Amino acid sequence: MIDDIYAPHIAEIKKALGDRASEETILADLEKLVKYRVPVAEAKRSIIKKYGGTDSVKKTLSEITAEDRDVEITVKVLEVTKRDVEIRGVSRTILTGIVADNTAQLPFTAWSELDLTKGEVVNLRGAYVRSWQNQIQINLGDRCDITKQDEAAGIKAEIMPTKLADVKEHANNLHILSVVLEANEQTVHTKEGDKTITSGILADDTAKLPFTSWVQNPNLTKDATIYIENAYAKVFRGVPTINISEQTTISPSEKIVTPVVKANQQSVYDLLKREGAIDIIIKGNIVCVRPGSGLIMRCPECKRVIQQNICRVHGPVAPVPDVRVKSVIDDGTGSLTLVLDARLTEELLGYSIEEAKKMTSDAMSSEVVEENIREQFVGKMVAVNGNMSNGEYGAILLAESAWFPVDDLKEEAIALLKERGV
Amino acid sequence: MLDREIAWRIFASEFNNTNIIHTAGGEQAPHYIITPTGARCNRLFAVGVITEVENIGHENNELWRARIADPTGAFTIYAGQYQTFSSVFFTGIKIPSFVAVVGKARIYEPGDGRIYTSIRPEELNVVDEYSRDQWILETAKSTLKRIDAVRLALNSNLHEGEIIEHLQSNNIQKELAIGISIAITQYNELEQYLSELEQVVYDAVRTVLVEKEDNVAAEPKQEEIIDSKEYVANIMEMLDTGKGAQYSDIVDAVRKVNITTKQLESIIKELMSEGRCYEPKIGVLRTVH
Repeated sequence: MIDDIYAPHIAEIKKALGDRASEETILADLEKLVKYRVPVAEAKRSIIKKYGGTDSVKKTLSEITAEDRDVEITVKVLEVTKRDVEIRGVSRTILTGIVADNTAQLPFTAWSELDLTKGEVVNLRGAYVRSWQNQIQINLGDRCDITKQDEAAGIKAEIMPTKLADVKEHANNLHILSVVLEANEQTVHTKEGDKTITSGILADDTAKLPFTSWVQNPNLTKDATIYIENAYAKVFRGVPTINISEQTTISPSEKIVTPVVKANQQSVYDLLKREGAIDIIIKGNIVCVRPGSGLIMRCPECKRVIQQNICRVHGPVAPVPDVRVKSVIDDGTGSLTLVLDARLTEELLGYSIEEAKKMTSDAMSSEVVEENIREQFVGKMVAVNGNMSNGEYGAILLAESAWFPVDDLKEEAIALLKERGV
Repeated sequence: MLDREIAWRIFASEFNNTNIIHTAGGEQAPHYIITPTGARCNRLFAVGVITEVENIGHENNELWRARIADPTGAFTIYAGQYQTFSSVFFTGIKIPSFVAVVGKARIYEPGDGRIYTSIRPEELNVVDEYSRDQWILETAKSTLKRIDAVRLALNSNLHEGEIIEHLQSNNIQKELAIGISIAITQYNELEQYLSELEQVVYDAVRTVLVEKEDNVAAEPKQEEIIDSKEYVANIMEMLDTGKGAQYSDIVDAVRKVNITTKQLESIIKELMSEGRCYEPKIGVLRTVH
């Protein structure tokens, strides 16, 4: 009997579709497709799809890769928040949050208001995976099937706080355990009138990051150890900034956190794993001084660098002179662009704006300052303290201070030989 | 954004023992050399003493060859018509002097089994002795780190693919892990070479100590005396705008470099007795050309 050949397939389709289609309709569809010589596997897939089912693959969160298109997971909702967003001009309410099973925890986005509540365990079918900013994210569309599970499903997952060094741009539902190093209130003008915000610096044992709180919270005081739930990260001036909103809760924590207080020196390799950082020190050699260093002219309106007294935006303008150094610093583990502003160029290399103007007119060459900087700077070892941004223009270190390290090399040599036991 | 290649710190001795070229697929893919300690190197940064400069090109085809020595050996530098800045640099350079170079690692195989490594410079600059010593220490540290990492890989007895993961889980950066996985399969008797290289590195570190001691010892003092004589002669010539140099101006000028009036007197006497200067009128000095 033909039914017998199809029976296992029909049972499988039926299982995937539930009550959405009767066995008769499934059989009819399947026979038709097979008549057209569609392979059985493909036929099954298209029938399930036709009646709105999913042929999700069961996976645990640790097995999920960025290539997964259709998965079934059983997870606990650790965090869920509603957000109003605009997608192609239409405003929608979406959910973002964190789900976990006993193997891992991942952020998720539901593109409609699905019935998900914090703390419950659910089976999700038809979830798909996106990699957003190098982070795997579960996506739940309209076709996602939610089946509530017993609490007893055995998922013990608790939300894990994110270390500050691991905070990525656009991360949502961040939980952070940190110490408030600085907190300052200030008034800003917004569309809805004046608003008091708190901004400052948070630190844990991995890094320091700036924060902005759009609400006032008594726990945001200097030196307090706090547990932040449901914050989000946004890049501001090239550095991921922790944003605290109405949906964030902040509670004092008894846990002991040893914050990074002083600027810590690190390798460029480690630094480049991050999307931005504040108050870090790196030590490396200058391997290149880029054109556009030395004496430059800026538009008085927009500060853009201009040529021939003509600004791209403001037309002919009276140029404002400035000096800077654009260079590449390399410590043998990686490299990044190092920018020194006028103050540091003068401090480190001795060219004030006045001096640079004089040199340029004396030599009647616009490149003389750049040439001199190159001769003084290339090959030199420099230590730099500043903020790093790592975006579409590559990694850039904006120096706050910079100096030529003067170490006792003899002592260092003895220490190195001693360390190796020779 | 394409990542800029790291400037590796490698001693000349290891660089010149390198004989593996590695290209990571694709026509535009960069060329790498794989050193015995697994540095997968396209660019390097070196500081040393320039000991030789020679223009070996023909009329319209400039080609400069230079040697930059570190305590372990010497790097060969080749700069051609596309490195125009280097001909300006090599024409004006004093030999010997401390030089920093950033450049691309090259390997040349003439076909007779020999292999020559060289650097094609991107940047050349004169630096000081302190920068050279800094470089020796930095290069020693990173070479020792690589030696340790290669030993870790050799002792793990893992397959090529697993080694990269093993090294990375031991906090070794990916580029190096890849390089090491290739080096350990391609270099023969690597363990023995590593022990030799380790000693070379220690000897290099010791040069930082030796030279520092020399600086406070006898040799430079002599140099100082020779220097101050030439310095005074130069000052004299510089201050002479046609009618000779005022003695009082010379006193002021040499005070900056810690030459006392007494020393100056004897230097001037020496210069006079050598017939290099004379006193046309009291308080005025002129050099003889």
